[in-house]
Amino acid sequence: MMQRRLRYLLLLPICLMFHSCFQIIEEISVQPNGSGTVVLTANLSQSRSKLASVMLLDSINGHKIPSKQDIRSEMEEAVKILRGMKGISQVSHTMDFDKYIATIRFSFAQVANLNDITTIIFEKLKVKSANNSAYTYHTVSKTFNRHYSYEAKAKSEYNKLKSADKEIFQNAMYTSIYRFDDTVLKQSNGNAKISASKKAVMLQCPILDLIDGKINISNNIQLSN
Amino acid sequence: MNKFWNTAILLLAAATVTAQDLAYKIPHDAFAVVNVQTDHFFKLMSVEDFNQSTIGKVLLEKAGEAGLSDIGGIEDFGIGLNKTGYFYTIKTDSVVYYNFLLPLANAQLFEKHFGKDEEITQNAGFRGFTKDVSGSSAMFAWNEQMLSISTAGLVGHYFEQPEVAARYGIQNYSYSDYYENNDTEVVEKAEDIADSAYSDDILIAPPLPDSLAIIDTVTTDYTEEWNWEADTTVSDAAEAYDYDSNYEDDNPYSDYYEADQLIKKGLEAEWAMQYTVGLFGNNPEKNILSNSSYLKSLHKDAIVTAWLSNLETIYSSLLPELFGLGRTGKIFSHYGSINAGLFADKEGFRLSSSMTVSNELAASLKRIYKRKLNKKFLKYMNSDDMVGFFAYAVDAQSYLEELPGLIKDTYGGLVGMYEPEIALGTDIISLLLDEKAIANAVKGDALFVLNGISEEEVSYTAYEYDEDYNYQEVEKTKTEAIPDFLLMFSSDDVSIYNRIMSYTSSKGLVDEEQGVYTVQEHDMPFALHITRKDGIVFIGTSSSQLHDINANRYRGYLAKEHRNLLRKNKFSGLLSAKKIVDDIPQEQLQSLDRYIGFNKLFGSMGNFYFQSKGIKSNTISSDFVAETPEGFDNAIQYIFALMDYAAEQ
Repeated sequence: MMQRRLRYLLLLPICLMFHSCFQIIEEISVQPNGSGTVVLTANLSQSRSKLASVMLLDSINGHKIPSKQDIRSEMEEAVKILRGMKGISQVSHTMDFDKYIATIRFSFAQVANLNDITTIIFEKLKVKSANNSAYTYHTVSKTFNRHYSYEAKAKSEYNKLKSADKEIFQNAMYTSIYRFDDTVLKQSNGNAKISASKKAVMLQCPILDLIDGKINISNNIQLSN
Repeated sequence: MNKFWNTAILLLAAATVTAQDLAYKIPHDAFAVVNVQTDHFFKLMSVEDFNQSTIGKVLLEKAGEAGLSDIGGIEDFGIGLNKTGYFYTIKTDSVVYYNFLLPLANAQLFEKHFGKDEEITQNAGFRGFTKDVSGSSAMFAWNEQMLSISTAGLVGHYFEQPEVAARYGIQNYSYSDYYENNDTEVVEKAEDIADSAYSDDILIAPPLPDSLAIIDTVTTDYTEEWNWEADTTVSDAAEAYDYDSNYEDDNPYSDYYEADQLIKKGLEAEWAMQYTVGLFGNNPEKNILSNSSYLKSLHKDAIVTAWLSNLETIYSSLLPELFGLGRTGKIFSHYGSINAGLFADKEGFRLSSSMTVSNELAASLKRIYKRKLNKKFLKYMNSDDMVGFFAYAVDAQSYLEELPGLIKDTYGGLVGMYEPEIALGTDIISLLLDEKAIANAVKGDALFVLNGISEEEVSYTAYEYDEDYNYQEVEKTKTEAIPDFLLMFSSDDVSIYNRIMSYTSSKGLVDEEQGVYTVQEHDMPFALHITRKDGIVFIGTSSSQLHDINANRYRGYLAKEHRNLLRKNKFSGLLSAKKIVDDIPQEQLQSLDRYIGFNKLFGSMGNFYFQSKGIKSNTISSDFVAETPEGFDNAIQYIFALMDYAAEQ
């Protein structure tokens, strides 16, 4: 007990002073027939000193801190759900508690399968959403479409957070990369860029801009036939 | 001789209460009294300065919004700012009175502002009105000298007694009664009761504390003088408790509940009124100024003092169920009165508190607190560098010996059915523990010194994207602030230290270099080193400091005030806000606004410290002090300047 109290004492200054920082990367590779692979990466490495400290505590800012085992179990559960989903295969994951980087990879038979994942995530989170993120791919017209509509609830929920919790999002970044076998003729999002080979489109933005609705990540990508 | 000094001290304390003071209206058996010495506050900060401050301006603005006209300053409310105001409570078995007693400088002004929308009634010796404040009926009453605001709160479990409930017409119908009785007539009965819940017939004088017994003489005719609108109160209460009674199963619980609440709220309003009549009509037979415990809590230099007659009374009113069981052990009876005083002077803000304990507990605590902080600790501190410290000194052997007895004594009776198990368990632990051996390994005193915040380069993984957005992991570095601290505790048992260290070394958990062990734990956000010297175990973040200590090279320096704080107390701690500002790497205060704000707020702050001398006689006391920085006459002016600054941001 005393030891635990001591830990709190020692760790308090660090927890107060460090800014958190994390990155979310969503990489989707789409084959001409509409199948493909997804790699989702959460990189919290830049905050790893803080996370290592936090993991020694029971709770912070009033939130319970899950143990490494809890986090692994949650990940296993997510992977299990993915494996059971229609059109999803080759699910694998990594969880590195030294660097604090987690990844999930899987293949999909149809781009539309990705929308089922979004639906399930919202169901799990018990969020009633007007499906604000949807992917479509037309094999004939060769268009890949990411539809995203801003959820005002995100900002209201964010505003409810304590300022200490808000800090976590201060420098957090979101990256999306869409890869294709065919050449990208054009894309509609002003914030995204086409790669030199013209076979990939990348968009990077602060997660706070997504929460605030300052940026829209919708994109309509026209591929060559 | 002792008696002489006690009497002299009491006389001095009583002298701080002036002849015009309202304390004579507070009965001697009040169970809590708070004195707000506005006169002292306004000596430290003039009324003009207060009116110009952010808080003063907000107050005047709110007064304007509330429709109060001609308010140019706080003095225009009519409240006497040069006298002490009081809040006190009186407790009986069935009701707790909460009362504010404020001196009035100008009753007409007060009435003009606060009574303008109220139905004011003239009574024998006072004018007044009732007003719903946070769901309770509060009685505002005043004469030329004072304003009294009284509310009464019923003691729940008293009215759960069948004969008491019957006397007042309270049903105490439980939700499950309906299913147990399953009586269809009960619904109609409940509705009838709800309709006739509160009638003027229910006029039973409240039970009063002994010292107020004299009030009984005036309770008979007050209803004629006082045009008290029982109906209004009832209808207000009915609205407040407008519960949805359309339950599918017709359970009449909510009707009964509503009816009970009406009766209870009626009683509360009525008893608050009766209390007020007594307050203005008579003085208590014995007032609080004859209570020596209360008088000891007074101090002329305090802004606020609070006094609680005894802890047991508080618990018995907050947790009546516990007392209803009739088994509380000695958990509360060991504690007596509690005092607290808030002072603001040249030195700073000081919050002083003390609590008296029973002879039995005092004897145990004196044994536990008999150890002094190891003075060798002080050699390893440097006042010029350190940001703060925390120290305590208890006697581990006495603590371990006293603890089982204290647990048995305090909790044994509380969970009566487990009393034998608790007694047996504590005895077994006593038998198993070798208190002396444990105390030899950890003697019970320790000192934690925060030497500062150092910068350390740490690596992290980022990504580099090529022109086709393929990404690769790359290692980058950044600077992080790491606390630099040293923890010391006394330990005479060198063999256990050596055994622990050789075991952890053999398991690869620590590495040894010239008597300094380094913990090999990568999850730790900072390096940790351990060594032992002069009967002290050192645990710290600075490898060089621990090597210097081990090789007898460390040269510390301790300022006199830090030495006194550490040596004269059983518990003490200090934090220098200014040094934190100097130490925090600028990278942590990235924006200019943040940097300026942080510096302005903390850069000019003085030290914070707390101290407790442990137990003296039968009193445990402690002080928390926030020192006034240079450039301010006193702490009040400083805190108001800080608030002005915060409001500007």
